[in-house]
Amino acid sequence: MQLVEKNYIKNTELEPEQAEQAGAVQLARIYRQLGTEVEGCFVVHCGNDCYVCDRSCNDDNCGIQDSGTHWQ
Amino acid sequence: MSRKLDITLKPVGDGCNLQCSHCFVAGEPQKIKLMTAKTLHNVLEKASEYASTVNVTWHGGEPLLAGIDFWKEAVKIEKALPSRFSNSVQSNLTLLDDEWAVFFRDYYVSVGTSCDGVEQIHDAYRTYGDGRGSFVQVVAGIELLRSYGLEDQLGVIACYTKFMQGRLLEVYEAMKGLDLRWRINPMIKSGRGDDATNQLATSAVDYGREFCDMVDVYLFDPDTHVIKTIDNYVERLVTSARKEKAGVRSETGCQDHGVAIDNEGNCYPCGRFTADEESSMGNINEDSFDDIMSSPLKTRIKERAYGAGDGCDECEYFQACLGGCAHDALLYSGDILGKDHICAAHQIIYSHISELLNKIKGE
Repeated sequence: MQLVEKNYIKNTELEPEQAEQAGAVQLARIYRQLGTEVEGCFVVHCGNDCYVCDRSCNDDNCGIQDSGTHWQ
Repeated sequence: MSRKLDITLKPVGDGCNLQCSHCFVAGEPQKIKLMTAKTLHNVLEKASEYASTVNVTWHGGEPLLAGIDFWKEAVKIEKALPSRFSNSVQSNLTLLDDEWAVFFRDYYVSVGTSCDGVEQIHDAYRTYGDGRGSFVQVVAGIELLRSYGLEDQLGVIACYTKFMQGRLLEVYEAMKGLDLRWRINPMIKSGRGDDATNQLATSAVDYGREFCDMVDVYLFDPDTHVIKTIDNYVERLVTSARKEKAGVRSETGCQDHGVAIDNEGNCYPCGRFTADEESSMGNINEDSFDDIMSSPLKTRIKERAYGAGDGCDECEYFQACLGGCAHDALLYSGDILGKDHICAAHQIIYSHISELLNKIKGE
């Protein structure tokens, strides 16, 4: 299925420092957790795997998952 | 093999010692029936045959009703298998004691509970059968877990109902006061909550608008205080864009590696479907996970991740939400590819966060 390309797709990147300067402290934290791209991989993200390339996260303490009916 | 599997395991089915009026299942104390040892073995052994990484989320009803010996047997089986297992639990914590807390600490079990932060709101619907509220017991359980050093393994879910409507920022401050990491779900028309929908549930639009008020406070709050639901909305906006740029498609748990298993061994796409026998994808005592995970129902739900849900092909936020909740769609439209009734809230929230990002960037 071919989806229409939307503007939001291009406009979500933000430097954490930009968010901090605007006073959006939590937003800066979230962007830092999302990581910076290194050769197509975002391994800093606090999930089990990089959400782009599936490489395992390098943080042994991470593992907080996203789900609706349970916290983890 | 590098496959992973997320199992929502219901060792006592919908059985529960509480009778919360908004609950998406309809568990009652008299409905408690423990999973057999044979079924437990089949779940874990077949999971290990299927996947190298297995996350087991113990759910219910109230999973502590299974008794600690059942849990000890489970981790013993897991340790003898070649796959990497991890365990988490969603519990109301009212049955928690020192022995459970030590067990959760020693076996690295992540603990989720349900709490609405404000006692009056919480006790309006999170009650025992005699009508007593459970807030005091839940908070005592949280404190007990903290006393054993489990604060980093602990999170809380709140539920948005009419009792919370207009008071979400009060809940926000209460959660900060309790120093809790939390997420919030709107109430759904399922289980006991089906009967209470008119009395307790709000519209998706009302939920979305009040949620945005909290987004504005939270993202600019200098204090560290994590609301996973808001973090997830931001993360999905950003990661969906990054995935598209990288040419990567993804699916949510129920669409891909998630499965819920009740105390009889019946398998469902996720924990929300377990009240609907027609949504069974097989039984773990008879079928393999290869068969279960490729069932026609699972395949149909997966179509939501590719834009088959009602209205998804024209939605600018589709790739962030991946079609929303199939169970919600089934409940409200009668069709698993229908519209998730929370869709209106998702659109309001994604739009609000997108505008906020643009404002910060000066665009």
